[in-house]
Amino acid sequence: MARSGVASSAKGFFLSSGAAGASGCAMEYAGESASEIVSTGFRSLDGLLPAGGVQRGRLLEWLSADGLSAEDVSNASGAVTLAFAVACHLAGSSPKTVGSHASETMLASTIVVVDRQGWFHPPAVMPWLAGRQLLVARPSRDDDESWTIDQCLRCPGVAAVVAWPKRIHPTSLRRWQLAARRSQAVGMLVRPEAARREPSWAEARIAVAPLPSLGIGTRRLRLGLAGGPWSGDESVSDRSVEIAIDLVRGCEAPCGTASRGIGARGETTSHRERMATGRRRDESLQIVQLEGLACRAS
Amino acid sequence: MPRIMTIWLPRWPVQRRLLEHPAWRKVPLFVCRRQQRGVMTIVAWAWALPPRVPTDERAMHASRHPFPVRIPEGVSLAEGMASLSLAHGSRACHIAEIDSDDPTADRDALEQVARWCRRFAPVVAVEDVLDQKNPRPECIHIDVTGTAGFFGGEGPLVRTAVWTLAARGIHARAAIADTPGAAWAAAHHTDLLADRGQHLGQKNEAGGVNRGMANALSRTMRKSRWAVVAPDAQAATLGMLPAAALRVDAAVLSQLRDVGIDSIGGVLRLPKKSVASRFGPQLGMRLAQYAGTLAEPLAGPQGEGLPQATHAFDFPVSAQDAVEGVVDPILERLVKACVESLAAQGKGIIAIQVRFERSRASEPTASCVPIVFDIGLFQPSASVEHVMGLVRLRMSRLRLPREIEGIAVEVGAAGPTCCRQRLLFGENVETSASQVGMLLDRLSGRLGRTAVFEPMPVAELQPEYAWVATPVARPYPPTDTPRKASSSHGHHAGTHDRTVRKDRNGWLFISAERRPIWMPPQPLRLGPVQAAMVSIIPDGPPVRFRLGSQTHQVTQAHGPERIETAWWRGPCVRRDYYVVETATGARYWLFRRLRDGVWFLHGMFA
Repeated sequence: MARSGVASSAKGFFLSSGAAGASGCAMEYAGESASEIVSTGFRSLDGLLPAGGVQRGRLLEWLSADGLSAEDVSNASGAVTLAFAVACHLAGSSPKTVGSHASETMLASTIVVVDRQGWFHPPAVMPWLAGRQLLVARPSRDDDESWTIDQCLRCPGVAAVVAWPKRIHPTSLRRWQLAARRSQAVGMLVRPEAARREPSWAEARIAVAPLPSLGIGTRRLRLGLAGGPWSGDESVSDRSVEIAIDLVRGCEAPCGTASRGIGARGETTSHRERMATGRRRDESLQIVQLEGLACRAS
Repeated sequence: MPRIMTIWLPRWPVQRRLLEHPAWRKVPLFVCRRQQRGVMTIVAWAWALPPRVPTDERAMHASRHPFPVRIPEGVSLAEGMASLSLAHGSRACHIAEIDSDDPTADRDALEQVARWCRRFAPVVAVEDVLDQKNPRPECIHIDVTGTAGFFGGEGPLVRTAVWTLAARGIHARAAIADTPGAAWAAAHHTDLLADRGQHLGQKNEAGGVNRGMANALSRTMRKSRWAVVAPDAQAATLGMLPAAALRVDAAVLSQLRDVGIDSIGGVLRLPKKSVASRFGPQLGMRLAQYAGTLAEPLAGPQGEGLPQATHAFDFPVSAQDAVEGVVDPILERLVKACVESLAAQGKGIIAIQVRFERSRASEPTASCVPIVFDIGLFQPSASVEHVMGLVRLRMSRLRLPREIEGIAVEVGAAGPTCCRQRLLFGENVETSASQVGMLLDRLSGRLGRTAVFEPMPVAELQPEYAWVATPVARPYPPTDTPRKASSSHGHHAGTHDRTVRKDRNGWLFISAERRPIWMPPQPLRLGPVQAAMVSIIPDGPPVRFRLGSQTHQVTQAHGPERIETAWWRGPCVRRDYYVVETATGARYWLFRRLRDGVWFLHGMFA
């Protein structure tokens, strides 16, 4: 199923095209290099993100609803679990392109967890890591933590970096963004809800709130866009969707409740409808692209 | 008179394996050699961290209390297992690791340690073992003649050697004496010498053994791992050591015992002319080496061809002011010289040592120990830029001396660099691995080797020990496989047996939905003061609980998952775990301690 999306960005207009569920390529006309779009593994989340998935080389912020800080023991919203599930899907997806040539692909299957507090419990996610490499770094100081995230994001062999830093300086965040853009690694930063008011260089900020689940094997979450470069676009802001995570396999739970979306003005939009709308946009864009190619060829 | 320091690394084959596999410290480890007709004999064995029996249960299980096991070398593996089972139960045999003997790798690793010991003195050698059929060196001889003054004397030198090796995870004993033979004897019996040193210290302050520690407490002396035999005092101090300290075969020892001689002093009292004819040439040679009448050359470790580069300043330079302008370019030049000489052989650097020589003129009172740091790489590297990046990383956190007189760069280990032709199309997997390897070098250089690890599952049901952090201190990607779920320390009871699964490789996985992604190092007690825990049925799940200032209403509870551990593992653990979900959807992992019914928070499904 071909899919592409258009979104207006605060930095400029960018065009994305590709295949849903697989990887695509986004060409940004703001003077930045192209980056692939990879599905998050959750269809509803893909629909929530303006690019239709996670762009490699970007930062994603997951705002945990009930945690005041990363060290708060009441932080049990599921944001870390979701971030790790997305990271696993990224690490297991197609090779990423590093450098200016399309032939310079790299199978980056390494996930690095930067665990400043020492609370990460790997057995919860080890069954999800079939064929992927998990590395854990435990810096002992705040500046070491920032440096570690920066170094991991600079490494082309890393698929994703999952971290829950206590404090983030905007300068560090900008540095991480540039590092990730260079190596095409994806940074997953789990932050408290209070960080919504802080400036961010992340490509998307997703607020994660837990919902009552139906069983122990699944986890239901409500996700909402909480800003990002496209936050000025009212049509996409404040959207929220519900997803269900299969905690055994670390992927989307096969239940129908995961594809419901709630619009900004109260109307409910199903994922299928949004996909259809996106498909119509894709077709029109492809026509425009073909016309442009024909004009260039002539 | 020369002075020789001997460092003894007891059970080196076992120690080497424990350094490579830290997870094996918790299990009995046997290094075995296959003899004729398939019999496995034990070369060395150890159980670094045997289980501790809690004090309150010792009386209860007095009959089953584990006692120290003594399994001599050379016995069959079956006999060793029987002894182990007798002391620690059959479970200890099930979890034991058995590794095949590899004398070459043991010697290579010992030579690595010997090269590292060059920080104490330049002349370093691995001991010469006469038994050619079973060459198993465990000692390193260092000629410390004239160098002890840089460390503040022989006592501080030998202490520094032992404790710096201990900081690297190597158990060592060391002694300084006039000859390698005497130092070898003293290093192997530091405990006996410590006792004697105590008596000497009471009677004679100028006693030759442990002179600086003669006034130390008795307990400290007994646990002493080092000894210093004063010059020309070895006949008086080492005479009471057993005859085995002369490095002779068991057959010679048996002959000596037959005639009632069991100490070095007794052997020395024998007429020298008749020693060779009565006990063979070996005893005569060892006696001469012990007394110093026969020279024992110290042959350096093999692989001396590894490059090194030094730079001596014409006059001492201030290192703190000239790091970027002077020291950094010189270091880069030295590293480049080492890398290029290796690259010509198709090799890359695995370990490198950088040494800054202090200026004695600027710090006359301070000990002039050179500033030395080692850098280990996860894969051979022929990139000057990468190696220099690691050196700069270490130097940024190093407190350099006020003035330095010289810089030395020495390659400690090298390996073949893996060069593969790049693919025109398709994935370049090797590039990914090499990039991650370089990342690990950088992270380990700044955070420390233990702060960067790869989690490995272990067959353990108690959540605190369900995984081990395996330092990625080896070529990347890892080649060894984690331990399989052939056994378990604890046993799993309760109503949810299907939560335990094994994958195709035989690993034991608990169902991921039952394990939180965040787990504090210690369970947080939900006491009656801090929180209110209510359960409407006896031994049932909680209905509400308070965490901090919030009261959480439990809407769903899944459990119990009972986890119990066996008595020989230490403090007995008996818990009923529940996965509870609150009205807001937050999910926690609580358990009730069955001993007293106290509730704990043990994890968050963050």
